[in-house]
Amino acid sequence: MIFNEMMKEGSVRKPYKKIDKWIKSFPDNSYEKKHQEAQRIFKRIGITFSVYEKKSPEERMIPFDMVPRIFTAKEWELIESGIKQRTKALNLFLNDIYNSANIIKEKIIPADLVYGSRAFESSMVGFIPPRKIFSHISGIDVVRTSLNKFVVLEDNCRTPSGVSYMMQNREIMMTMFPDLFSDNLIESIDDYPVNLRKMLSSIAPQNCKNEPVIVVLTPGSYNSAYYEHSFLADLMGVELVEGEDLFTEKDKVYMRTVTGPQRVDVIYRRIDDHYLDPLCFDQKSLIGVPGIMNAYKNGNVTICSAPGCGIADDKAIYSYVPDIIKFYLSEKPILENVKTWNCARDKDLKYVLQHIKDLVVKEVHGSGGHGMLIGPKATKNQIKKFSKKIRNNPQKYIAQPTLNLSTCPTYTSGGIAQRHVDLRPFCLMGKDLNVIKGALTRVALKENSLIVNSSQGGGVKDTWVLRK
Amino acid sequence: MLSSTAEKLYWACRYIERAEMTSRLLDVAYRISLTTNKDNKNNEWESILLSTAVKDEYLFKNSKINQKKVEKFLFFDDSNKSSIKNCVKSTRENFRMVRNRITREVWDVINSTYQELQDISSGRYKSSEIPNLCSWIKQKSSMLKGAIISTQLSSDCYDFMNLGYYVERADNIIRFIDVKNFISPINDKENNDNDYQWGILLRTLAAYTQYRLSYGVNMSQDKIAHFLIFNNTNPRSLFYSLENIKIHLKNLSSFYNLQSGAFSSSRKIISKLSDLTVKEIFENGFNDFLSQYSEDINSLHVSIRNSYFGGVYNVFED
Repeated sequence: MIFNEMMKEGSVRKPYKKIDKWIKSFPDNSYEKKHQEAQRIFKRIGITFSVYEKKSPEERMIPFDMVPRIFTAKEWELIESGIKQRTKALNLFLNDIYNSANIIKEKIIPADLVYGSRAFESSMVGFIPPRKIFSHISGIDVVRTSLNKFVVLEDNCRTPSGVSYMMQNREIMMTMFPDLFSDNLIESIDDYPVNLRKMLSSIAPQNCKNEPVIVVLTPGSYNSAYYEHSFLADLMGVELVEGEDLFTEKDKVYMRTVTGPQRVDVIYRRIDDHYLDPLCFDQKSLIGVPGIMNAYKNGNVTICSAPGCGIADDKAIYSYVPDIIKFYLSEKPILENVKTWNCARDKDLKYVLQHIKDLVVKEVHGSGGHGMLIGPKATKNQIKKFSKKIRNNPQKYIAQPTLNLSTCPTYTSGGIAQRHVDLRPFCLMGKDLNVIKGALTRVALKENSLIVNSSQGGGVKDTWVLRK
Repeated sequence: MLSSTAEKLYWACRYIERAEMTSRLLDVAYRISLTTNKDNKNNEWESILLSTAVKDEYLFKNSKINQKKVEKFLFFDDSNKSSIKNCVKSTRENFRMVRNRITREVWDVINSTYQELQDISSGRYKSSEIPNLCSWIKQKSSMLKGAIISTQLSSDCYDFMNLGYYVERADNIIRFIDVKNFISPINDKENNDNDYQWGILLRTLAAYTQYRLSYGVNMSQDKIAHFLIFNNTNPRSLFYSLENIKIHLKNLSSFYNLQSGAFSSSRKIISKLSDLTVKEIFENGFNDFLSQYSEDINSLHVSIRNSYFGGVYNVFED
């Protein structure tokens, strides 16, 4: 059964009543006009991401769908508490595996799964970051499968993107349809940049006595999420820097300014661990800052998120997250996991190959909807080829049952229709732990499609949390 | 402010000024091609390739110099770094990287210009549309300048943008006079084409009417040279450009409370120019004057770069 977020047994669910009326109030064809107008605004503001399928990168826009997705306060409470629980537990896990490794000693998680992972960063062993937090910003992907059931699809603990779309989607809706917001029933998301800045200030190194100097570190303007990097720096009122703008001197980090070097205290980096410091990681990296890891480990700068925190969102670790929550918090997981078969285990591998027609198979290190197989949608030939790939490299794959992602009303060329959606709420963990009351909803624009990734033609929606 | 931010603001404005200058040249060349007869030996198309310093690159791609090909090369060619299309792209790219330093209005102008130009260049165009395209670029460039003046704070960002505008302009003025000098040497009083060539130059610099307002209808070499080099009311004169470079460098020095090497070099160049007269330039030879000031402007660019874009003051606070 697919959960329809708007309709229940032929009638409109209460939170969607107003939107239903709103959709019906559009005279013929005017919806198309408004739709075009929204895309034009996006283009004018320059909200784009880059796609690298062709030789030269191409700027594209993420299609924006005007029909908002709505949660009641009660529904949101459930999601919010689940996200907080998970973020807390994953940070305790990270601090543990890089220090005393109790969870491994207690044999809850196999050692090779942690130490054998590419995402495990040996240079972080024995290091405790400020406030013992490794993953300060998480974007945990959730899907809804029934009225009260929310399932975590994957954890994103490194540098999840999409928050700028959440904010711009709201901005466009408020510009185009101010009436929808006039009765003030929707939670505001304007605080996000302020909260982000507060969080970053709260994790400054102990020896930082003044108001900390924060920067956002971007790989550069050709990165697919560059718009977001500049958007966040802008709204926080901090500098957006590239590797070349920073240098280290006696284990301290400085940025090059028109009046000389200025000390930097907190770096919100949007580049991968691998490229962060050519002296410590990839020597060929041109976008990193030589010496930044030494500065970090000497407590002279804080890097957000901590290098090596990717182990917490590794797809092989994912299946252990319920155990991680129980181990550190002695709590029952609030959000469920999707049943996951880990092909590294012989028993699981056998099951996956037998039932591949009904499963979704993903690469452990894959992202963006690439390198995956959706069994029920695949041809015999595709299945044959993919099965061979799995057999050759079983530890590279996990499999999950196909999920019935909920659907929301969405604009299509044939009028309003139901399309599958997922949800990415954003959680900040510093001195405080908070989840913004809003999120990024991604929508698969093709009929029946379950792939919501923007690089594969997915769109986005404004996401509302109703006030109590 | 980050050194790289300052550098991007500076180059964004250099590129848009360059795009405007190229469109002015194209416009004038097109005009001349309509008014001269076929056996006219003045090759306006060659002269604008020289003015924009891309003749070698052009000939690397094309065997002959003809109108249609030169237009395409200067306006749309992706391989020509200074083509109008590439200049607009570079301006947008530089502004895009410092989005948080520019206003929404400034971004809107350059972003929509870029988007429209992408559409235009993907379609076919006729030679006869060139004047319209050129005036469109000039309009957009004016809109951008207007948005900068009326919405940006008059702080360091504004100064770096203006430095870009005026360094590029000073550089272009010298280059334009140089090309005119190449086609018909300035001291050659016998050459009847001289007035005609000066007229073209004035048109290019949008100064035809302005000249007449200041000097009357008669054109003479001395007066035109004075107008283009020394006239401190002509926004497209060398002196005016240099004076503005000095003003913005002075602003930066007081804004940061740090004297810069660039400010003292700008002062030196201006005082040197102030001591000169048109008569002396003609006596000493125009060639010497042009190569001297071309070098000076380049060294001014280098000292702006050294003062602000390197981020290497050897001052450490602890």
